[in-house]
Amino acid sequence: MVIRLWLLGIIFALLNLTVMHHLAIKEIPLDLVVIFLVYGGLFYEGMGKWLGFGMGVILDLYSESMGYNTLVGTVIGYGVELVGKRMYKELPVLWLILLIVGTILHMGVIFSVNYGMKGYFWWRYIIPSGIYTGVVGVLGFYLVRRRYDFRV
Amino acid sequence: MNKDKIWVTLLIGISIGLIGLGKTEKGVWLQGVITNLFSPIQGWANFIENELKMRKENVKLKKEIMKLVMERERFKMLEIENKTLKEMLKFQEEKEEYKLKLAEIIGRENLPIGGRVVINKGRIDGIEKELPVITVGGVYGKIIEVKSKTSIVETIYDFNFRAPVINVRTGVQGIVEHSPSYGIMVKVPINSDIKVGDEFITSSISTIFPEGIKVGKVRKVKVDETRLFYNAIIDIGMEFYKVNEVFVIVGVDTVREEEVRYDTKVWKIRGEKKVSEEVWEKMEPKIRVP
Repeated sequence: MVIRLWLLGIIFALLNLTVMHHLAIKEIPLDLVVIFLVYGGLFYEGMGKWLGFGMGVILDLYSESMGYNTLVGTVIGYGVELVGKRMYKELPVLWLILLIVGTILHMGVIFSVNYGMKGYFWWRYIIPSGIYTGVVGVLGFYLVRRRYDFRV
Repeated sequence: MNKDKIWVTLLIGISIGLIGLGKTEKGVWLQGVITNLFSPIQGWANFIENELKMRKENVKLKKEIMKLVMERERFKMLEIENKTLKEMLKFQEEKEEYKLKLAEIIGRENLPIGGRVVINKGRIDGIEKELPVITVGGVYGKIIEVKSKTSIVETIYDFNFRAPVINVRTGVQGIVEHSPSYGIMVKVPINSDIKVGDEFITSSISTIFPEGIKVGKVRKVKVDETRLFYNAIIDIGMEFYKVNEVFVIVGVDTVREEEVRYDTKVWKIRGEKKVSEEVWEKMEPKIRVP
């Protein structure tokens, strides 16, 4: 199970690097890494930080500024893990909040590192990306959980 | 402190270490080594992407068979491919003064706006930092990081990209950049002579791009908020997301043309080659002086 999760993590990270632009709507990106990270962190106990770290390392390999994806990935993964321990996991509202916050944090750091803290980016890309990722992620989670007959 | 917290602290520590390491030469080297290890998987990911694209196309073509126009569509596709290949060949011939290296785009950085892309040529192919990257349509970007087998290109769509350009019609100089509000645009001083349809090419003052590479045509001219500049919004000569191959200008042939006087004749010498007396005699003089 863990190996399958890792393989999926690598595939999601590589998809993020190769086909992300195809999934963007009006240049607003879909953060596949955060979707996978939130799912892994919530439903596979203790895996969030490791997935965040591993997927972050892969993103960093193709990034000019090394280390930032790894750091943010670890923080998001661990944060999701902590939330998952304390709250009821099968709650779509919780998924939505985690996906939005995770994406905003990830995109915010990456944009700030590459282009500096400019307000325009937050309204044009980062926050819309959080909402887009949140909506798509919740639908994805819902379908996966229903398919495997979980209580949703 | 429980085990979980120790692991998280350790992972965060490693991440911060990576940030520090990323700024050193060793870090870039390490990044290159690991990227090379991952390049086969990256290749598979690209293969899957291509496979998916091809399947989609296949379904589309089957539908076309039902409509009895498949042959025509196939012919059209071949024609386009042929045209693209011809264009690339012609482009390479036209730009014979440049030493061009053809590279394939194998990945895009984790940014939504197509700002940076990864190409499959690196240090071992003679790629260096700050080399210009072009396509048949014109300026595409510049190399900002080089690893052994791959390189990162800062494209014209990157918000950090800047290049000096010149208006072909009026000679007015400007700076091309990607503005979040306007898209790709050229900033020129206010009251400059500029109008819709003007063409911009790279200027000779650029330290990266050779002079005369096409940048784009003016679509709209707007006054900047500061009222000190015109923002000329331009259409670049390519469909950005459809570009899969680019050329890196790895050098410019130092072809020197000069006229040499010998005896009563004037000879035109091209290049750095020294000509033997025997060859000299066989050469046709370009101009004869009385």
